[in-house]
Amino acid sequence: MARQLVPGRSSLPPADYLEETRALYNSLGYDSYRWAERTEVTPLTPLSKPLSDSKIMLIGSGGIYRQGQVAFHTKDDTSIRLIAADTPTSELRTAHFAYDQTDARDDINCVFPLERLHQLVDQGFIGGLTAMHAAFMGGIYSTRRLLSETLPRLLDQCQEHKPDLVLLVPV
Amino acid sequence: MFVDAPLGHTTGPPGEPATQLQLLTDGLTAGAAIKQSGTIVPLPYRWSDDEWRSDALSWSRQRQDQGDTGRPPGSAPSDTRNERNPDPQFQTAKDAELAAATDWDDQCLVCVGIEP
Repeated sequence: MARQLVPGRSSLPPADYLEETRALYNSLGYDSYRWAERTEVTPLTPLSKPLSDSKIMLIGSGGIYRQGQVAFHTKDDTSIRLIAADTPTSELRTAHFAYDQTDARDDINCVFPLERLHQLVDQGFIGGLTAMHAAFMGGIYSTRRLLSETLPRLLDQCQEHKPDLVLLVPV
Repeated sequence: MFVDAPLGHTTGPPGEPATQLQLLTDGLTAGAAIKQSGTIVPLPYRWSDDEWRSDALSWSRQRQDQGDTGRPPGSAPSDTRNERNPDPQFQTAKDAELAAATDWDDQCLVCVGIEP
């Protein structure tokens, strides 16, 4: 399979992960998976300045860690990793159980585009980057623990590093 | 922003820096222009073939065929989910050595929420 993204839209609907997951659970004899549903609307905070003046913080859910750090485990790991802006791409790793990591391990910019963001700063498209960025393991099955453990840790970092905009990259 | 690509390629395909940059530029521009909470903007790109989308979790079965899910051989053959493991899943053995050699106080500064 050619691994390329090309301009245009597919004529087919998006991949139906919900249906595939339902089918897998049913085939194993489990009850239907209960996805978290959020009904409340979070108010929009508009960007207060142009992108070219904005400082950006990158947060990725793809289980990214830096060589020398403890890797994520895969049983509801609610910890986070701080990734310094000047981290060489060659030192970034992934530890995750719910996506094929082959391409991300070949080129971490597939899931954590730190190198590309530096280029956008050089081009003047964005104003700058925070000194620290963050990553976590998105495969947390407990919504309660995600909300009470992971999110406060990420919020603390946002409040410390004060970005104008946080780029969340789900995986 | 919705990127219509297989899992693991949220910000583009590997080894395609120009595409990755364009995707980020388009995504940030569209995100900055949003006027209403909950807006979903599909970015105008598609994967170069459509085969993956009819069986988007097939990679997990391929892993099982290779005996690579962390499950004991022969167990639950129809269960293609990876074993969930409470131990750190280092990408390489060298990573595990380097993490073990890192001073614990230094480790805590960059790994928030882990215990010795």
